[in-house]
Amino acid sequence: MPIPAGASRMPVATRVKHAANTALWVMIVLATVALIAFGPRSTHPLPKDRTVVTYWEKWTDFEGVQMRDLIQQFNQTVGAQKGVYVDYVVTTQIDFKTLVAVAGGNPPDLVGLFPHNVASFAARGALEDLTPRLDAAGIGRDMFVPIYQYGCTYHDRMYAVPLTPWSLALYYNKDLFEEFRDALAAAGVDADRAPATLEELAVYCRVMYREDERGNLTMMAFVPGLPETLGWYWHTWPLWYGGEFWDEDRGRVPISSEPFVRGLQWIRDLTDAFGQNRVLRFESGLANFNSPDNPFMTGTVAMVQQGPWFAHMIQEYAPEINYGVAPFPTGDGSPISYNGQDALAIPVGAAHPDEAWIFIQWLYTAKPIHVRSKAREPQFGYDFAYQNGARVPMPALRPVEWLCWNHYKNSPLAEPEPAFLATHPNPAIAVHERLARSSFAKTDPRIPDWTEIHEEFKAAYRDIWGSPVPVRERLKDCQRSVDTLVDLARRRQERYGLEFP
Amino acid sequence: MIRRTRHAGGTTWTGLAWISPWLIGFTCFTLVPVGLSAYLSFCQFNALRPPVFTGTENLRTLLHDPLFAKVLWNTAIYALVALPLGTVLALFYAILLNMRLPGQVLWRAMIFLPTLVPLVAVAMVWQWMFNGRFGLINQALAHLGIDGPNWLSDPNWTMASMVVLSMWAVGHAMVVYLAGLQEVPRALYEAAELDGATATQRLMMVTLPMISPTIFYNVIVGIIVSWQIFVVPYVMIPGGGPGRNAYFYTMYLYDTAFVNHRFGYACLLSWVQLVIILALTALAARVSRTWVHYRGAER
Amino acid sequence: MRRSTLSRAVATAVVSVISLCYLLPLAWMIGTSLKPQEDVSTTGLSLLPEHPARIGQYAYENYYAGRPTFVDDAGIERAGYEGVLTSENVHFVVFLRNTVIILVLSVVGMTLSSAVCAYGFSKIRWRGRNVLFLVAVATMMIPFPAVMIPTYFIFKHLGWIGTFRPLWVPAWFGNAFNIFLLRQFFLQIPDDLCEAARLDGMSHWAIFWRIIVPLSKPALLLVALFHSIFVWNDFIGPLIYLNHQDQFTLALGLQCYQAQHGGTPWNLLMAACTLVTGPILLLFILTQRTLIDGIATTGLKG
Repeated sequence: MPIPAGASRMPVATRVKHAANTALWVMIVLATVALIAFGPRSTHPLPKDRTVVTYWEKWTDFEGVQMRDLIQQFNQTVGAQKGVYVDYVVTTQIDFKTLVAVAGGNPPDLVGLFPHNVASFAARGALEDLTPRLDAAGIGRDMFVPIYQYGCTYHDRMYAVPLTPWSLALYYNKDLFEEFRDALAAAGVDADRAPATLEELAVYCRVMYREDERGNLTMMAFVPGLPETLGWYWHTWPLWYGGEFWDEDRGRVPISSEPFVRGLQWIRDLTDAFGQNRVLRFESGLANFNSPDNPFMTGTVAMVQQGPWFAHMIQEYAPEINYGVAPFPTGDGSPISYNGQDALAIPVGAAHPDEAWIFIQWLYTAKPIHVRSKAREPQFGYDFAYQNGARVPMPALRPVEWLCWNHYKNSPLAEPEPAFLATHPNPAIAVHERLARSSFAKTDPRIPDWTEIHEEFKAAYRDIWGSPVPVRERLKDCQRSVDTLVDLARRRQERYGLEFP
Repeated sequence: MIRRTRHAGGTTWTGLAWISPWLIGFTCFTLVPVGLSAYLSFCQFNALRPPVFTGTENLRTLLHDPLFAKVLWNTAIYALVALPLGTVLALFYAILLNMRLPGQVLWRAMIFLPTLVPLVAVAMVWQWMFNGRFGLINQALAHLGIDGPNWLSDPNWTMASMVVLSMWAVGHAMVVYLAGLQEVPRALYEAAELDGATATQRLMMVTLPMISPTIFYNVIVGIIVSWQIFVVPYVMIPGGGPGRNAYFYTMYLYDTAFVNHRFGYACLLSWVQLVIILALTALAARVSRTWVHYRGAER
Repeated sequence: MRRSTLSRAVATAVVSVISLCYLLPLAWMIGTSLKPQEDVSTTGLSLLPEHPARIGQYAYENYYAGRPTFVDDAGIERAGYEGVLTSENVHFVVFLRNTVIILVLSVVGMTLSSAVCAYGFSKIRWRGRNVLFLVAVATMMIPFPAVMIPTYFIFKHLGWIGTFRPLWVPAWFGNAFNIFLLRQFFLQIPDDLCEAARLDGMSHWAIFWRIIVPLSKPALLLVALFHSIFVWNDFIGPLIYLNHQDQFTLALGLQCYQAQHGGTPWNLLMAACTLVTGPILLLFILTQRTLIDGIATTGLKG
């Protein structure tokens, strides 16, 4: 080995530094070895004597804990009887991971998908058709709330079951309404109730706002783009004017039709009333959704469009707010609502589909049970619930309803347990339930390539929201690209001998 | 005893033996997937049903795809701006930090730290930095009397925000330059000083040529990395923002493949990207012959 | 002499200002991780919480113990939260162990194999060398979506899905980025040295271990460092290859921690990010010390 040029002439300082470095490296190596050898490892050992059903789900936080508790109940009762053990695996980007797993031939036994995944996965043959199993178990179509049942259907067959469904409503801050009572009365609207039509909502917006000395907005009545830029439900605006996402007769997505134009024009009118730049700036300053700084909690925004889980967030971050819940205002006041549900499905190629089905069947057909869940904080009660403000014992609920009850969501059953509604932790659940069960309830269309079309629409919406492009022209451009996408999608399906959508 | 040795070269077998780890890995893990993707470029494939051969349909779609043209343009502009900027900046920092200034271990760590942070954190932190109202950048600009733009929601500024972010992540290149600078023999500097060279001349005549191999490496890697930018804009500016001005090639590729389930078309897009990067790299390599010097005296 | 002191002072000032700018976003990240939830705000530039004296307590709560339900100044009962390290759902210490295992296996393999391949591509002249090197360089440009599913398929057939193997075994076959980097460094080593050694009868293997490797310590350390950083922060590989939460790595765990409905509270999320960044920062600092302070032994300077 060549002798280093100046080794024998290295000064003491350098030698000390070298020694220090070596010592640090040695410590790191020892720490690494110690960690590998003695570090914590598996926390949930799997039983060897039962069939293990892998269940991929996206829920972490309290929702995940409750699902785990429910699964534990199953594993200890029916699971033990039938030799089944459901293993709950939490994962992020579940649609991506499921796609890769199914394509690679290694799917889980159960997967909890987003509502928009069902049609595209089903159309591509990735999900098992559950209709025969449902019929055999006596779970008829009429057991589900129609809109949620539709959300899990493709070509009239059910490819998933609704797990935790929801509907959207308007949550409004009564204290802020009170503050602006006179101004609202002067504009001809009543501060004691929420707006019923979009016209009224526009009036509320124009009246209820605050700005600082430099002209920056510090409070607005309603911002469509919440919780993040564009918001979660931006594409629902055409629905309020009676629009549909899929035109059956003409086989196209009518992006440039009147309801769409009116819906997005409403948004443009809102931003124009204040100045697009000012609204953008205000919106960008709105804080994190899941925090005590949520704009609704801090009174920065007076109204939001949210689902029933929002009550949980209010209870957690701002229990002092005096709020009300009403159907979201629509073009003519009819109770049109937007709905969705998490869907539980069995992928094609799963190792244990029959055992997976046992769990699904238990969810829907088991007798009402009591499950003690660790996730409920002391103030929300481990063994009790609230009915009309008074404490009552926790009701027994069917497993799927138990889950929805704890997740602060709607019930997927056409005939919910009376105790579900009476003791639901969201005091305004009746509003959500009425909307979901009405004939005006709407959801995303069951089109396999809806995501791609949706993205085109989103780009148009983004432009309308963030730049001065004229609404009608932009939607016309969008129509052209969407038509191309629909044609391509139709051709692709036809190549497999299938119809589109 | 002087043994009659082989030429310092060696036979092809020796060479292949030495690169066998890469060769085996390439054959097992790369060749088949790449070959498959080449075939799939001419198919319709959604990963869940068997692929259907469609001939040149994907190619025809590509030529008429306005989004393809848009992302190509965006990525080209970004690479064109971010690469030279990043190279010069990294080199500048490396030279500064090579001067044995007090506290340089600290400065080096601070400039390199951004490349260690998980991308989740990068996206979140910079979403705050770029906030139109309360972001740090606009607050700083406000102190200078400038009214900062809505970085992430103004179509004219989304691209600029990505370029600014790219300048934050030059630590990687800087560290490579530092290692290269350490290799420059001090004797050359001393000789140049004795010859009366100024600092600038020493930089141009000694430093840069001596580290030209590392510059070449960083340029090539920079081309590849800037053309493949994906995770941070995907999270921070979803969909490319208004006007799709920050919609980059790999984002479009990922969406086409994993969100829209059009793998055949996605494979074609990947091959186009590969060819473009290859062409640019070949160009850089050709140009490098004039300015890259390897002290080992041969290429 | 004075001019050089002045220019050094200027240089120090410039580099310190620049470095502070680079640090600022991360200073905010660390500052946010030391705040209680009610102080976290995206409005305004506050690096410190309302009550800076309680930073120690906040650090303890956010990073470790969590905070029980409490009553705030307005007399309203507020929900508490779990600390990062004792989170029920997400076990960061287990993730740390997993990441370290994969890292050690991966980095050793990568450094070794890349060095060997780089030697073959630089110090031996053989037919087809340049063509194959071009092919290697071309592999750097393959975007991952194109090959992800076929690669998954290969691993599935090997039965490696659900284990760590897809994450570290490929590293033992080298990687074009690192081979390229090492090749650039190896090419700087004078050929005369190798020629002389060959004439002395040394085999390629001996030359590699006794001449090239000692002279390339900076580059080898660099490769080890870069690959460590990649393994530490990679979440796409673990996302698709690992199926059990007990196997997750830090990067993937962080993704799961973040992807809770509406987002995790920022102070906890920033605490998790800081924790995940900590060890790899330590590794970097140590590598830099060894790199720079160990330069005197490379024999090429002076």
